[in-house]
Amino acid sequence: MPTIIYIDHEGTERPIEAKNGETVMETAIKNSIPGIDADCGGACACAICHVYVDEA
Amino acid sequence: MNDLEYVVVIGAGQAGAQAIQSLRLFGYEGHITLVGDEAALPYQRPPLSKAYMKGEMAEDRLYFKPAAWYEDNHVETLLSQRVEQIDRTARQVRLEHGGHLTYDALIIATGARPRQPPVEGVDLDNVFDLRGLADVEHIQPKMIPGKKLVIVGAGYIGLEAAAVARQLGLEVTVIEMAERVLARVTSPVISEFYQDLHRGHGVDIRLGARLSKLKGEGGKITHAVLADGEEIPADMVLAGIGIVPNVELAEAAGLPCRNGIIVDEDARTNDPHVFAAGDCTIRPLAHYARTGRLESVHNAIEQGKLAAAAIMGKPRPNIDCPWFWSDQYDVKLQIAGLSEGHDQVVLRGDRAAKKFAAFYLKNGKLIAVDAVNSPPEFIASKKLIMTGATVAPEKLSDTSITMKEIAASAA
Repeated sequence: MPTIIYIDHEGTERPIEAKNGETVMETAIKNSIPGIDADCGGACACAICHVYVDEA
Repeated sequence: MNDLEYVVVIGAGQAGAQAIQSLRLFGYEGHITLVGDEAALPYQRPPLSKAYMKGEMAEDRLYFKPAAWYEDNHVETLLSQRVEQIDRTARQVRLEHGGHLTYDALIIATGARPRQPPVEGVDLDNVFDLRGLADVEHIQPKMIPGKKLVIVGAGYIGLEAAAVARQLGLEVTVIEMAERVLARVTSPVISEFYQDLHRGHGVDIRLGARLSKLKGEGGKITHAVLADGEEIPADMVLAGIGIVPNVELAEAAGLPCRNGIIVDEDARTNDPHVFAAGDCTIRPLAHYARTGRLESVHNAIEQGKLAAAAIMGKPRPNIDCPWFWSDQYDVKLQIAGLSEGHDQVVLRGDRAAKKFAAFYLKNGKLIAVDAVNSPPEFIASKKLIMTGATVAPEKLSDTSITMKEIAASAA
C-alpha cells in the first residue's frame, strides 16, 4: 500500500495510506484532506484540481 | 443560530451530503440525522449516465464518503426512509415508518424526480428512467449488443445514455419533440454539433418527433409509436424528458414554492429554521439579477455549503457562476454561466477537430460559454462571467490570443 503525503499551504504534512488503484484526489476526499474539494468527483469537469508532475 | 443541538437533513443526495460535511467542517458538534429514501449512502449521480453506466467505474467510487466517515463524524443515517410530514410549529419531521425527529435547523434536500412521458404504456416492462443507482441496476443488465434502445428526449441524460449504449453496441434511436437536440439548454450551433456527433456514431436521431404511445406485448415494451403512426421497434425505452422538483413536503408545510422551494442567498426559506438546497430550490442567481432553479452538481454543493454556513453563523461562502458538464463519446462539454437572453454568439476553435467553444454575450458582456474539449476557454470564461467584464468578440474568436491573455486584458 503506497503512502501519500499531503502537504497544505502552511506546510503541514498528512501522510495517508492509499489504496492501490485509487487516485490521489479520491484518497484525499475519503480522508477529508482540507483544501481538496473535487466538486466534479474526478470527471475533469470543474477545473478545481490541478496536477503538476515533476519532470525529474 | 442559538441553542443549536439537532440538525435534520431530508434527502441523501449531493446537497444533503455537502451540507453535513460543511456543518462538521464549520465546527458543528451537535446531532445530525440524514434521512434518505434510497438504500445507498450519498453518491455522485453524474456518472450514472456516463462512466458508471458504461461499466468503467466501480460502484465504491461513486460514494462521497465511506460508511466509516458517517460513524466517525457521528452522523445518523436513516436510509430507505421517507419523511411524511414537516411540522414547523413543533419543529419536528414525522417519518413514514413511525417516529419523529426534532430539529433546531432543518435542511430540505429532496432533489427531483424524472418527468414521466404523458403517454399510454409507460408502465410496461423495460421502460425506464434514470435518476438513481437502482435505475442503473435495472438498465445495465439489458445493455446487450444488438438490442434496440429507444430514448425519449434529447437532453443531456438522453444523449449521454445514447453515447454509452452505442459504445456498448446497442441500436439506438432518439426521439425529440423539438427541432434540435439540447434545445432547452444550448444554442443551435452546439445542437448541430451534437446531432452530427451522434449520427456519426450511428444513432438514429428523430427531431420534431412526438411520442404518442408505448406499445407492448405480454406486458413488455415492443414499440415506441410516434404521432405520425410510425412504430419504432424497441427492446427497451429510456425516458429523459426532464425532472420535477420534489417540493411536496415543503409545500404541505406551508413554505413558499414555485416550481421549486423558494430560498434566499443563504439557502434559507421564509422560515428561519428551515433551509433548502439542490435541485428542489428556486434561488437567486447572483450573476444574472433573477431567480431560477439549477439542476447541477455546482448548485447542490454551493447551497449545501450556504445552508451550513448560515446555520453556523459563518460568513457566506463565495457564490460561483453556474457550471455544468457532459461527457459523450470522446467529447467533454464544460458549460459556465447561463446563456438565456444572449444577443451574440462568438465561436472560437475548430469544430471539425471537436475542439471549440461558443461564447454567449449580452450587451458586450460574457454571460456563458459552451466549451467543447476546451478547458482553458471554460476556466477563463468562468472568471470573466463572474467579474461581469466586457470582452471584445474579435479577441474571443482569435486563437492566436490565449484565453489567459483575454482574461487579463478584459475590463
